[in-house]
Order: sequence, then C-alpha cells, then structure tokens
Amino acid sequence: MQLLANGIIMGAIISVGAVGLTLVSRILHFFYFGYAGMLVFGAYFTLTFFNFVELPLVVSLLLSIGLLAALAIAIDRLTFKSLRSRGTGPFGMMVVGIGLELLLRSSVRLIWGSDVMRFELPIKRALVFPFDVRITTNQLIIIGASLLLMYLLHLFLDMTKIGKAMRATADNIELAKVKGIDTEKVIMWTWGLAAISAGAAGFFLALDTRLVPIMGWKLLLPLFAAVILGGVGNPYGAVVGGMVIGLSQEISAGFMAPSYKPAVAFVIMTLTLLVKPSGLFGRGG
Amino acid sequence: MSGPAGFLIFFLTYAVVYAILAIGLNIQWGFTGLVNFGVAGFFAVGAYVSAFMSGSPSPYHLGGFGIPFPFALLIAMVVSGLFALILGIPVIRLREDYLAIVTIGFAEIVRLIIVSERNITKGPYGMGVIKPYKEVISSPMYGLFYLGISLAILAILYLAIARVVGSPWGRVLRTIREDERVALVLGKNVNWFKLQVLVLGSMVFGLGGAVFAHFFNFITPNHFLPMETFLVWVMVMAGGSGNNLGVIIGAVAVRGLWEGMMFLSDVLPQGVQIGAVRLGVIGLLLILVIMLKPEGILGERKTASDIL
Amino acid sequence: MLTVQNLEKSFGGIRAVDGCSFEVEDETITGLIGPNGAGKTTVFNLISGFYQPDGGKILFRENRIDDLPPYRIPHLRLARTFQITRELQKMTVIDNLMVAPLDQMGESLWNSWFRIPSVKNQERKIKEKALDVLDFLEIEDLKDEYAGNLSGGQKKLLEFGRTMMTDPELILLDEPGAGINPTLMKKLNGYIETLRSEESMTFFLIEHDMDLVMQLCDPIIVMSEGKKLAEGSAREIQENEKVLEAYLGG
Repeated sequence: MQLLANGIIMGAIISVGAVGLTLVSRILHFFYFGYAGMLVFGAYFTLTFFNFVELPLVVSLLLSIGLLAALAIAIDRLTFKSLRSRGTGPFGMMVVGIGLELLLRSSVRLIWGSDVMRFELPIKRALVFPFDVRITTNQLIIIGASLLLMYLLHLFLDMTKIGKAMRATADNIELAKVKGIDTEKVIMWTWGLAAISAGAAGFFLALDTRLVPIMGWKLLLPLFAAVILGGVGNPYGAVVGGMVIGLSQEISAGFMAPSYKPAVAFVIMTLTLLVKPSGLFGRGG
Repeated sequence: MSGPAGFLIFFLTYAVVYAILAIGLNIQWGFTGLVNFGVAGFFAVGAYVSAFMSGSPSPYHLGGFGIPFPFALLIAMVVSGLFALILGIPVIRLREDYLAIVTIGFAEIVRLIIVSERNITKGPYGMGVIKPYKEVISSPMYGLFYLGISLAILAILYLAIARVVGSPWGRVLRTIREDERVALVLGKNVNWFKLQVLVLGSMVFGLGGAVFAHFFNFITPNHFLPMETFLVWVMVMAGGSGNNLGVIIGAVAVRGLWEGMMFLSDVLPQGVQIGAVRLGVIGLLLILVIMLKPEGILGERKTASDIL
Repeated sequence: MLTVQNLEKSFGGIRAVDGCSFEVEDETITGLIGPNGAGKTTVFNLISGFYQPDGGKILFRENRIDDLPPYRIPHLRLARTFQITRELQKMTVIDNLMVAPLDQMGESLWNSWFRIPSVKNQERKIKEKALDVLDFLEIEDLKDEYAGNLSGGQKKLLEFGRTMMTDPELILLDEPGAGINPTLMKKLNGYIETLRSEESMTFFLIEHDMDLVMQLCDPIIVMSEGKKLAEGSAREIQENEKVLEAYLGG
C-alpha cells in the first residue's frame, strides 16, 4: 500500500510535467531535452524566492513560472525560431535541445552550486493512514496542487481560444496552418504552458525530495515514457501515461532494486514504441 | 615519465580512445545517418567486459579470467556487438527521434546496472584494471608504450573501416543516409544494413571502452555518463560527418579543449567548478555546430566507392 | 504480366483505392490516367510495397507480391520512379547509378574485407554499365557532378537511368513528364520506345500530359474515385463518355 501511495505521488509529478512536454514535442515537432533544464530552473527559481527572498511559497512558484516562461521564449527566439525558418529537421532541433540541456544544467551549477539544497520548511511528521501508509503534508500538497493544476490546464485547453488553437495545432499542424491559426503565436503560448508544467513539476519534485542540478535529467526519461505512452501531443494521454509510469516505477521497487526504477519507464516506453507508437489513445500509426 | 611529457602522453592516449569512439559513431551517423545516443552504454560494456576478462581473479567482482590483452579486446567487442544486436533487432525500424530516446535510455540502463550490481562490478566504488604487458616494459616508459599500442589499434581500425566504407557496402550506407526510400526501391534491405551498422559501430565503441579501461586502469560508472556520448557527437559533427580523418581531428581538438579548460581554473573566480564550465561549453558547441556549420568543418569525400 | 484484383486501400476512413482491377500486358506501354485524387499514386505505392493493401491482390508473373516488403519488389525485376525526383544529393551522378544494381557482391561486409579481387571485378562491370547508361541518356559529362547540383530535367533522366541499372522487366513511372521541357520530353519518349522495342521492357506510367499519353501509351487505363473507369486505346478513351464526364465533372 505504501508503494501505491508513493506511486500516486510520483505519478502526479510526472503527469504535471508530461503535459507541457507532450505539447512541446508535438507543436514544435521534436523531443526537447532542454525541458529537463526547465524543470531544474523552475525548482531553483522557486527555492530562491522562497528561501532567500522569503516570499510565500505560492507567490514564489508563480514568480518562478513567469521567469521560466520568459526564459523559454527567449531561448526559442535565439535558437529554434531561426532553425524553424531554415527548415531544420527534428534531428537538428533535438541536438540543439540537448545542447541547451547541458548549458542550462551547467548554469544551474554555476549559479547555485552543485550541493544538495532543500526548501526551508518546518519539518512535520508524516501522517499515518490506514494500512500504515505514511504520507507527508508536502506530499498531500503535491497531490492536491497537481489535481488543481490539471483541472486549470483542462479549462485552459478546453475553454479559451488559444487553448483550442493549441490543441488543433497539436492534432494536425498542416490543417491548423490552413485554417489560419497563427502557429508562431501558438508556439509562444506552448512555451508559456510548458513553463507552468515544468515549473510546477520541478517544484513538486524538489518539495518531495531535494534540489540537485541533475534532478531534471533524471526525470526526463520517465517524462518521455509518459508522453509516448499517452500519445505524443495528447495532454490527457500524458496525464494517464504519467500516472501509469509513476505507479509502475514505485511498485517495481517492491520486488526489484529501487535503483532500477528508470529501467521500468524505459521498458514501458520501448514496448509502446514497438507495439503502438501512437500511444494508448492514438489513432493508428 | 612525468611532467609535461607525461601529460602529453596521457592526453594523446585519451584522445586516441575518443578517436576510436568517433570512428564508431561516424560509421553509424556520418555514413548511414543512424542516430545512436547510447555511445556511452556500449563504451561501458566494452570497458567492463575487457576488465573482467584480463584481470586476475577477485572475490569482489566478476571475472578475473586472466585472458591475454588482445583477446580481452576482442571479447569486449563481441559482447558490445551482441548488446547492439539484442537492442537493434526490435528497435532498428523506429523513426530516428524515437531511436534517439531509446538508445539514450539503453545507455542509462547499462549504467544503472553497473551501479546496482555491486557483486559483479563493485558498483560506484569502481574496479581496478590491469596494465597489460607491464612486466615487460619498464614503468617510466609504460605510458609511451601504451600510447603506441593505442595508436596501432587506431591505425588498424582506420584502415579496416576505410576499406568497407569505400566499398559498395559503404555506398549503400550513404544511399540510406540520403534517402531511405530510394534505397528500398533499389532493392536494399535497409533495416538489415542499419542493423549491421549498429552492431559494427557498437563493436568499435566496445573496443574504445577496452582501450580506455586498460589505459585508465580504474573504471567507475561515472566514466560512462551521457555526457561522454555527447562529447563524441560533438567530435563527429564538428569534425565532419562521413570523414574519418575529420572525426579523428575532431576528437583531438575537442579532447584538447576539454583538457585545456583545466587551465581555466587559474583564471576563473574561486568556487567555479570546471565540471560545470565543461558541461556548458560542450552544450554550446552542440548548439553552434547545428546553427552555424551543420556539415562539419571538413566535408565528406566526393567519391562513395574508391575500390577501383 | 502485372495483375491487380479488387485492390482496396483506405486512409483515415477515406477510400483512396476502392476495388480496382486491371492488367498490364507484356511489352506494352500502359498509361494510367485519371483526375486528381483518383488513387493513381496510391496504386503505385501498393504495387511497390510501400503500402499494404486492405483488400485484394497484386500478382506479378502469376506470383502474389502484395505481402512483400518494398525492398523485395525490385528483385522481381519490377522497378519504379517517384513523382518528385529523389536523387541522392550528396553523391555523384555515377555513384547514384552504381549503387543501383541488385545483389552486388561488395554489398556484404565480409566480401568487402576479404574478397577484394572479385568485388573489384564486379565493380568494374557495374561502372561500365553505368557509363553505358549515361551514354544512352546523353549525360555522360555529368558523371562526377553531385546529383544535387543537376537541373530538374537532368534529375529526371538520372532517376530513369538508375531504374535501368536494376535490369527491370516492368518499370512504373510516376509522371515522367512533370516539370520537364518539351524537348527533353520528346527525348524521354524516344528512350521509352527504344527500351520497349529493343530490350522488351514493359512500362506502366502515370501521366497528366494528355498529348504524351495519347501518343505513347497503348492501352490506357482510366481511374476515377479509386476504381477503374475504362480501358482501351487512345481513340477509345477519347471517345468514352464516362471518361469525359469524370474529367469535366471531377
């Protein structure tokens, strides 16, 4: 039961992060490794506002997401925008994304150092639930906040004009262009949404564990697994995929060395690619 | 030998190891357009397998079979190739961006296994590797001697690979890189060629791993981080994909840059970590190569097959 | 020679090919025409193995080929070209041709390492043949040029030549006349005629240029909405009311 609870917490973190990654992957048409850097920056920004500026936690998170969005859009302007206009393929984009990941991780180390950091929160004891399941208040916050965030993202994608344009673009880019959707504008919004998603997931992960520069990279493989399992470009699929990956990773710890958790994500991802590359909810190949 | 000469020998041997890796990746990416982000994984397999083979028996890790060095190299290559075969049979048909993620995942899992299976690999503590032929060579000259061995291996590899990439086989690889559909309508079994290339290139990575292990004489999972993969990618892309001489120059240059950054520590303010700077510089290089010079510094040779 | 029976293929609920049947006879130049979206290129992609049919059969010399992977098809002496030329840009013209012959000895790693003399021998023959083809197509002087630097018409010729290098008995040509000038077109017609009469090759071609089709092809197959609408000589097709209707109405 404890493993199940851990799985739900991990699943919530992966789900939140995977929503942004799935939209970026689809709308920008490549797998963006720099997303790992966004997760880390999100966590460290929030930490800085909270620990050092001593702002309230929610305000810190919101400020961090704003900064992260600005950073993501600035990066897009400097790199991907000109590559898009030159018609660079997914491979070139992916290599630039990897370069950015290394550059962002290096910046985190240079700015904040490589030592482990934590949110300076009063330590509370874990709450004990039936079946001797222990869940900390932080973890309850993570679950609650993820649910709220996913509901808000759902409203955004479903109700707003730009949200609908994003989903249409994710569904079929060529068709969206024909319909007169301003794809550059959609891309800007996608980065904004990715900032929310990555900022929140990075923060949650840091809240549940601790902050190290490598944390983003370590979450990247499970995130890609969730994105592929849910079908690239499908935000709801990403949420389900994230839950499945989180649960399988944690439950596997019941009968395997816990260090093999990422291997579980890898195996699920590879099987998905071999059996049904369009993911759980995809239509055809 | 110590001092500047010793450092030069150390540097050159290290560069030779990476030149071997770069040739392996050049077969895959440069000639065939096959994306493999799992270089570090095969590199690790080669290093550990050769170490198990050549070492003397130990209760703390696998092996210690005391097999002569050349055979340890060969076995490392074969095992690396087997890993590539097992991975490749199901995944070789995947689209290149999926293949990129799958191979990077594969390399991470190899590293996880090395970290976790302490009874076999001694885990994060790392394991010692013998110095081959150290009983015949006096210790001051040993570094130079091993550099000689590594250079000889590189030379043999270079010639062997030049022969096949300059043959009709290599011409098919270039066709696949240029346009897979054309290769198909010309009756070439594209996936079969790609599988051969994945295996052959990965055997070369395994060889690189073995040469590295017996040069460094101590290997830990941290020698095989994803960073190593990207380092090799920078060497190949900057040196000129599809040109083996170019990627060797790329390997020496990037390795030089890597070691050169060590001297930055005198210039940089206190507390700045060289590791972080290196990470950023490699990242920047990856970005710049794609943005400024996608075809690399040295181009490819014009004639595909030079067998006549 | 080539038989297509009740062929079916759908994409996302749209029936691109919908129960299409026809035959291509030995040593003919058979034309395949039809309005845009009739399913012509889809039929080509089905024959050459790029798509798997949802239903129906394709037979080549009485053997079923619809379940074969694309790379097996050329080995049956059935070759194709593409609507938009696909030259190997960063390879020279002669390399573009020399890669084409099937089952080259040197395509095996083992032979390339250890059986150099025999590989060389075969390579010499292939080179001779490639030079002959370039000579036949009158583009010999371009042999060391990168294929990416050729003009549109030269690329068409190169692709045609590459197909010839595989010794085909049946060649599928997807719009050979698209994007080339009338002089070159005339030349290409001549090559096709020569190869049919002197080398007994069969051609099956999609074309939009009606003058070309009427001059060159006999018989002509007309497709519309995924089905065969009519078949006959140029004159029969021109007089067929259903065909006129499909073109004007479509």
